[in-house]
Amino acid sequence: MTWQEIREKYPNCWVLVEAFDATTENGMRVINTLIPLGEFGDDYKPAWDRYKALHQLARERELYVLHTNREELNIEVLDGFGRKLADAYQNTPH
Amino acid sequence: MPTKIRLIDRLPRIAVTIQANGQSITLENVLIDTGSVTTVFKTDPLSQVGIGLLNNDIVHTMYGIGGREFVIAKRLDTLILSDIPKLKPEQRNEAKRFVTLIDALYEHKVKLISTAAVAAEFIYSEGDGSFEFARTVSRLAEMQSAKWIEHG
Repeated sequence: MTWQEIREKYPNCWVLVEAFDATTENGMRVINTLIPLGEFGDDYKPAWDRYKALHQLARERELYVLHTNREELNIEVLDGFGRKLADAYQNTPH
Repeated sequence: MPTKIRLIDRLPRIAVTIQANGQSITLENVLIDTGSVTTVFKTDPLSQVGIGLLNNDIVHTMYGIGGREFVIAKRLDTLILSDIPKLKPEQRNEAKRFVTLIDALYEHKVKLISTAAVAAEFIYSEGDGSFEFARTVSRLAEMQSAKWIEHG
């Protein structure tokens, strides 16, 4: 599905989606196909929890938690993330 | 607030205190630069001070060793930066990074509260690029004005 098709099918709610058939052009993700993995009403937290669970299992999957009021995807790619992602997160108090 | 850079697992980290919605949380070991000139915070601690996803957040995707992550950008109202040192002439790179930081804060109208070892005009008064640094000094002065603090 395209983002616009997802917006029409799941209006005004948080969704968890996975990107397929995606490329990067001029630093922006061009995502031709999105698969909706869940619709979560007006609370993002269950969607976020689901994202974290899936992300933990398969970190290569391109997953997003987005609100369908969002008109365009506008997802920018940050290059040069040279660290283990886990390293970035050693920031909780201990 | 502790602001010293510490090397942990050979990566530079600082303690960051985040205030939002009348609450505060200190994250002890934040990696300053993930490699893409960005600092990334985990969402779980931020949710403790009421920072969460919003409908029209700016969304990024990141690649790293061992995975992909999606990242939300949030706007800062105020940055508190303490213990800015006087930079030596050979610290050209540090001066350039400082200029980049101040430019970013200025352009996004972020309020800056800072303490420094010397007055702004003496932070980088000698060395390659010190002439251009004058613009940063000027911006710092403007950012300390009552008008800036009131309106950003």
